Amino acid sequence: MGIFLFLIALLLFCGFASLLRIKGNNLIGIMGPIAAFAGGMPTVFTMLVSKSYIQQSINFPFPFGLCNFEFDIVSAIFMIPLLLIGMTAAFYGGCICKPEHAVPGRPIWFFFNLLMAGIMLILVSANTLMFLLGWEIMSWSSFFLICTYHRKNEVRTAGIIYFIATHIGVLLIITAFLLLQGQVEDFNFSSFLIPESGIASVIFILALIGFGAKAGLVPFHVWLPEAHPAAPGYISAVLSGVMCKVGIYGIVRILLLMPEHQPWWGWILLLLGAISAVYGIILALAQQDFKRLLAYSTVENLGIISMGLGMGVLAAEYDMPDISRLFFVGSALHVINHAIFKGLLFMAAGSILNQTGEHDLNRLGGLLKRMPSTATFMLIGCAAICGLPPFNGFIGEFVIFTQGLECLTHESWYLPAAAVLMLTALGLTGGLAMVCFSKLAGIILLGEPRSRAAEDCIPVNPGLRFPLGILAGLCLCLGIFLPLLLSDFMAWKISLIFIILIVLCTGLYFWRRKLAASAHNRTGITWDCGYVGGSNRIQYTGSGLVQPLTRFFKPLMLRKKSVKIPSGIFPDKGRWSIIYDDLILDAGYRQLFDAIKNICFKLRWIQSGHLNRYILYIALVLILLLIWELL
Amino acid sequence: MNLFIVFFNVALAMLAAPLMWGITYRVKAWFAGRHGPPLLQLYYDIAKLMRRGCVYSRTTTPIFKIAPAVCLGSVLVALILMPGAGISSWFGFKGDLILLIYLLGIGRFFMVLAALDTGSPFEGMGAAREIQFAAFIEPSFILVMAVVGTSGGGLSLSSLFGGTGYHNIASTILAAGAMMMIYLVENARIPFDDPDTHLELTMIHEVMILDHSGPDLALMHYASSLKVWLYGMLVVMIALPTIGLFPFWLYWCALLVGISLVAVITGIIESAMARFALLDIPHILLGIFGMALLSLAFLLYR
Repeated sequence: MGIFLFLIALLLFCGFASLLRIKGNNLIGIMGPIAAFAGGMPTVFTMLVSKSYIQQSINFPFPFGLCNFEFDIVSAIFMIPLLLIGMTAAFYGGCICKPEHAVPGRPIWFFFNLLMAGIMLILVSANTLMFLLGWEIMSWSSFFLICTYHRKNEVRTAGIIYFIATHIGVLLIITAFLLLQGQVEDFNFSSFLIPESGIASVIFILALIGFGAKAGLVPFHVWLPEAHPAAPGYISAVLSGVMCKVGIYGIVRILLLMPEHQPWWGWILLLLGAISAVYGIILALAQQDFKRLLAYSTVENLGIISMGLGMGVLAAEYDMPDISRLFFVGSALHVINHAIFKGLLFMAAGSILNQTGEHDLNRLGGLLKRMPSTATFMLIGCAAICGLPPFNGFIGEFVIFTQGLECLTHESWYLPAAAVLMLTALGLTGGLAMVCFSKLAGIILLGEPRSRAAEDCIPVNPGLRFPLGILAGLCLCLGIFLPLLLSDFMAWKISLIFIILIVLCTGLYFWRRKLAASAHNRTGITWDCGYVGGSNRIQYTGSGLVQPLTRFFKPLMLRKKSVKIPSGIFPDKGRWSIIYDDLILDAGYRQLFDAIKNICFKLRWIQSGHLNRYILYIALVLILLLIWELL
Repeated sequence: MNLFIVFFNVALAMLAAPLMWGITYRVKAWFAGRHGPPLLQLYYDIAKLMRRGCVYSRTTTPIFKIAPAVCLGSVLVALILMPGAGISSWFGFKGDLILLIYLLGIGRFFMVLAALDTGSPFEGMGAAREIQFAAFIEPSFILVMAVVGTSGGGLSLSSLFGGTGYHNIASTILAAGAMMMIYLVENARIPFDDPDTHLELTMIHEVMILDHSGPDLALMHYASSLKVWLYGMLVVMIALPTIGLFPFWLYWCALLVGISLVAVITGIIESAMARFALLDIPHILLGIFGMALLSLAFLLYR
């Protein structure tokens, strides 16, 4: 336990030291997360192996009092993405030496270390005040990290949306904790009351919305697709891979703090998860900005995790404890795996953005030849996120799928109905994810470049291979070896089959190469049916690739079409574009906030600017208070 | 014994799979009043292509060369999971039916990437359609697998033989019907795709391998014929659960006859029907999902 408190102090120290105007201050900032990884990982592993539980109480000065810290298996699971992605992102950030990244260097490392310290504090605290303190540190520092390029207008908008979303969220979380707290002396989780079922449901709903807003569950996800593209790639990796997971951690913690659950909580989690997964992936595949695509895919993956949690709660309520436990295991595996491949994808996307300066994937292409290492790692990430064997995305989804099948045979019809819903949603999500990521990989990395920027792009700094390579290697290694940890299945067979798959495919590849080498081979252009006037723009675009699907799912998205037809005697350039935007943000929240703004404007006569009127208000309030006191 | 099953499954598939192509085309030719290609035509094609050289586009990357190997490798690994003669495969385990679906997904992922790798607009078009249909068919496939897993108990492919008969005739018929449809969609057959029309009109699978040549094309053809075999096997096993009670040798003969029958039915459908309009296909795929859901509902209703 002490190691984590020490690491929090170390991270804070590194953060503040990186602000100093001394030589090597950036290096100090980078060393913080790396030291945290080196120091924290052994403890996490011992915890996971021994499945034990550490607790420590420390007496802090007023207002904290005696604070409890706990480190259990749930904290350990969420600690892995924090340490791993924190370390690789810091490594990545340190290797980037382009001028536009070097300018905001010092504050970036300050806030980066603060963010990690805040999340670590959340994960180890068993005390409301400490938890909320960590939560606020996390929210504030991530706000500043999102606003790294604050000179751009859209970045400021994104920052403000995030700011509002996170503060509405924290308001609900504080209310939930206050309700759970009741009238007791200290703020430790251990002294919480056991709430009656009505209050417990209110607490659960408040916490679900508050934490769900951080996790990015639909319809509380609106900040996420704005914030992730605004931040630099390695910051997005931490936001998506780690910070969103803290929202899930909060939901799990609240479920663990309340001894009795209602079946409909499970249904709500399942439904929110299913909606997030399907809606997230549909919007992801319609996006043209590849970082927005990744952000929506985060919504999808957190939906999958939430579905697993919901089914876990439901299965526990219907007396299937083993199956329930495996649902939670599946979700936990997906938490770790998603952090790894999404971190990888965001960092690779950041490299591509740095090298080409192009947000729009329809203007890229052919990067596998131009940035071989980054592109290969990105391909591995794409295969992993589709859940394809032998990569690590498979195992979490597999466990959730199999337990869903187990639930079908239960006597009551509620659990099979929930399982059918989950299987359908997960199946559809899997299929659509394949579309989305074949688009990402196929359009950006393969084919011919569709613009000058893509054509002239040069490989990244070789140092960047290490963080991406570590994550890509983990995608493969965890894919093969994670099944060995699941003693409930004959899961070693999965590992064996994966190894056979790799050996077989490699063997076939070399056999094919040998066959082809013995014959006469030629190179030429791609077969164009005799039409030779084509340019690179003739290739299928990402939007074209998903057009059949965007057409089908049109009612779920806001379609912004702008057409400018060349006309007149001297026509200028024509233009034609379609952008698919979020219906919930544009048609939902914007309308709601506009309505609130209108009401506020109608009340502006109260604030007239005349001093004598304000004095009248004070007098009126005093008189009202007096009357109330007298009554 | 269980290892023998793996051996027999893979050996029979590798030997007999290209034959199914010949059967389908002979049936189509018979309907059209033509003589048709020899039954062994695909074997000849593959043998010829194996000896030829390749033409590579300058646009392509190693992905283009890796894809054929991965397509074939993933189908072969999927085949080793299949049970046979009432016995589970040595590699079979609880949940292997989910792994089967994902293994078939890898082949598709790489085929789509190889198509996009050429930068050809035709192949992009084929890829777009292929992944769209695959995305819509995946929930149906999973529900059919759920029917398979729960009807025999054990949640694995070996529960294809778990039932000693028809527990629930309506469920079995619907599941077999849905599986037949999935077979037609996934193997790009009429009424979902027409493999014989000209390039840009309708083709999905054929257009995606337009740039492959020589041994690459041979591996692609062989992989897709093995895929036909695998899906045919699933159709036969779902429609005839009692096949698992047959004696060992009779089982393999019955399987061969059953899959040939599926190939004949494919030929009849292709001769009797036109392709659906491309934009209607998603709605029809939703209909298949309805079938699979109904099949599961009949099975679970007590």
